[in-house]
Amino acid sequence: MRRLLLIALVWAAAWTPTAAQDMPRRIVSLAPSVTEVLYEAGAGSRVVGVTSYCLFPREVLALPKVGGYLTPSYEALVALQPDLVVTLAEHADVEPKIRALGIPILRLDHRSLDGIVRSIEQVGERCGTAPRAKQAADALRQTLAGAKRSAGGARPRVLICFGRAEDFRRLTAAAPGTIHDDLITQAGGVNVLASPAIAYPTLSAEGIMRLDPDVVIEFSSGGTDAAALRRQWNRLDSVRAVRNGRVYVFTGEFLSVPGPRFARVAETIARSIRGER
Amino acid sequence: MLKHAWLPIVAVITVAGAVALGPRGAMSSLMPDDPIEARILSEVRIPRVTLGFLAGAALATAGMAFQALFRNALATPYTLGVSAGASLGAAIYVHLGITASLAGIPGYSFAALGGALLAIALVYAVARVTYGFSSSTLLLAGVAISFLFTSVILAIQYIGDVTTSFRIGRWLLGGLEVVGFLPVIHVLPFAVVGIAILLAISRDLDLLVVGEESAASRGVSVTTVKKLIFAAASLMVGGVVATCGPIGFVGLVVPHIGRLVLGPKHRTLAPFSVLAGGTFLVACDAVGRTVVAPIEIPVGIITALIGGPFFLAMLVQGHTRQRLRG
Repeated sequence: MRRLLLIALVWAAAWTPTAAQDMPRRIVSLAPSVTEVLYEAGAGSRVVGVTSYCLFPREVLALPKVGGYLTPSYEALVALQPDLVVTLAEHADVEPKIRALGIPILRLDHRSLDGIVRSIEQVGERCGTAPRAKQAADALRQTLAGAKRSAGGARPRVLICFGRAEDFRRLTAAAPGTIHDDLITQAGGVNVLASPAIAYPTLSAEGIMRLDPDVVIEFSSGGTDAAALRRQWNRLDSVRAVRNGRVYVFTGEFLSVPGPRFARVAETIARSIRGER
Repeated sequence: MLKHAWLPIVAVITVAGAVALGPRGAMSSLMPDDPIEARILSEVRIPRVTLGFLAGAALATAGMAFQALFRNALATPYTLGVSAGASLGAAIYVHLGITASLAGIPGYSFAALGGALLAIALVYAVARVTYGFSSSTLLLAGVAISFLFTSVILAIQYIGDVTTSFRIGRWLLGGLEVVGFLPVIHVLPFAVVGIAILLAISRDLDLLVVGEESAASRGVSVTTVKKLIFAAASLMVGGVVATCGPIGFVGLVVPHIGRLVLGPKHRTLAPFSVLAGGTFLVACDAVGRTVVAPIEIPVGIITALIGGPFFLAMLVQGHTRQRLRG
């Protein structure tokens, strides 16, 4: 018995350092949403490099940059000596070059709300912070489930859009199958666009009038005046959502970063869809 | 020829400078002690500068050949739709969501090469049905196929999700950032064979520029030469674009600078295009890599930003010189 215990001890002693060695100590993030997830999952202190688009959390502003999101500098990457580079699906053409440098890759999928939640756990498992990551992922899951529960029975038809000119030209809407559609569904609405053929189609003012959504959700990047954007919608007063004052404008740089903060917007959108300000 | 010895000297200095210039200032030497710098040098920097030189040389020489073939100052390596074909191949590959590679060559390079070959074959087929492989038909077919393919690319980008659009958009910017020598080895045969053929027939290019009839009267088999130029230059550009994406401006501007500096004779213009094209692209890439390092400006933007004003200045200067002579 004692011998068995000894073997177990030796085995454990031999095993633990290897596990610790495998654990990444120098992590580089190649996307803003990845950076957010790394911090959310408790691996933030080991992040040694981010892209020039990574602005959150604030402490990453001081970290070395490896260049743009699709245009990383491989020289900067080598110089940082990372033992893990965390990527997204968009990096499919970048990954072979990172692999050629002999740097391990962890790819996350931020194309859906579920993907965001799962990515927190993935990071936790890979970086040895699984309990903390599990906690964060569960909290986010609960937020999303809460948004869905509170939605109630009636499911209004929602137009979710962004990136338009003042006169409503070049308005981009999100079709089923996109992460924005995910957000509507999670918040208790139903997408006013039915076809998933074009992920982000351009709509004209006429198209919006024909669709006649019950609720309009508009996302705008940081620095724009939400009230002014909302007023512009008054021009389309034949649209039900405009007539009933159900146009909601959200601003903030994080709306273009499909990370945990983006997922948590579901709560606010659920309130809007229920008609609460 | 000796009076043009400055060109290889400038080329060597530029290439050495591009290799040695680090994001944090010059590297200590070309044999750095620091293992990380050594790694950057051997795995990233030297392959990239080599690829840049090859691509620049190939694009400039192809541009020169097409300008002679069409007797058109606006002809570029991409006039015949090679770049649009390659881009369409890459776009379809990305859209279908395939991820594959063969012998270390990424799948999209194969797709791009396939697209380039398709464009070349289409243009060739159209030109063949016209009498004597007419240059104007070749040109028009190339332009039409470019437009057609470009609109298909736009359609794919429009219907695709964010990931697809980003990846295609990145491809369309072109770039020389590579890791390791494998991509260089892929471009090498295309560039070397194409450049060798075009250098070998540089005398025939002079006769073509004067006119097809006079070329024929001096015993040049015009159709054969035209087909040879078409095949050599197109395949070379296809090989380059498949790896580097479409990098503009080099093929348009470098041969013209050569004509302004050395005159129109292809015996000197062709070697000039090889050396100056390579040097120009290496220099532009070094600028794009260092000005806001580690953020990289895609080299195609730099070639136009530096090349455009430089070219305009040369045009004005050349004009005044001509007026003074006249």
